Amino acid sequence: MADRPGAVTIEVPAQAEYVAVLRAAAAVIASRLDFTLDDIDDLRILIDEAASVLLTSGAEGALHCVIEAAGETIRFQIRADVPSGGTLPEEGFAWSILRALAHEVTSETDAEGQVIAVTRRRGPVLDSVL
Amino acid sequence: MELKISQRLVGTTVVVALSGEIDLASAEQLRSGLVAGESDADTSMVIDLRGVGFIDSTGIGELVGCRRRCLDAGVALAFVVPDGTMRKILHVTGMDAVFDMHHDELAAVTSVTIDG
Repeated sequence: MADRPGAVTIEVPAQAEYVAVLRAAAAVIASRLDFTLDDIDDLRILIDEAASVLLTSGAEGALHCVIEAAGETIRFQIRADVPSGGTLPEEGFAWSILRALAHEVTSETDAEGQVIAVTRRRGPVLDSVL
Repeated sequence: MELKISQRLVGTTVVVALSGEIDLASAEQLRSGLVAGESDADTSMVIDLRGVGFIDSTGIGELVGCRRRCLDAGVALAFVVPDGTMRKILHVTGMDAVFDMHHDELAAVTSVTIDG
């Protein structure tokens, strides 16, 4: 994913203060794809929730984020080293939001740490937007 | 954008107005502000979210915590919630069915004072 053209790679310290940087980056990339303001809001929330899940699980070092835009789709993944290990608990408000606003969301644990990957296409996910 | 918290009294109701961004980084500050409002509230409190440009699950969790503490203390709590993303987030977390939500301050203050 990181090696593909058009992919943006950002690494920030694994600290809550830096999640705003990821939100801003996601918003800029989405706005270049003609995403609507609602879509951009959704994407900011998605990247924030993915980062927050890793941070509250005890991520250390850096959050390694790759954002890839193709056509009407944005995919991003955030990888972090979570020394306490284990599978991320997929519950709580963060996961409710991730599942509701993403077209696809997965979490994985591999040798290098934990990864949350999210796919969001242009256009609303929710049938009834309030 | 940092979180700003202001508090004032409308009649007997403590109104806590939030503006800025609510996320993991500002959650602790938010909790302190809400707890301060709760301790000053006699019977009713309103949280005004109209100035909030961003809220995530961490922020929703803090609002839920505040509601729980208010219930325990017998303080009626209502929210002023703008249309758009804020209501969407409250909807997808199911909290729109739990929170006493209004579009303006007068309606929120009326709601928490009329029953009490």
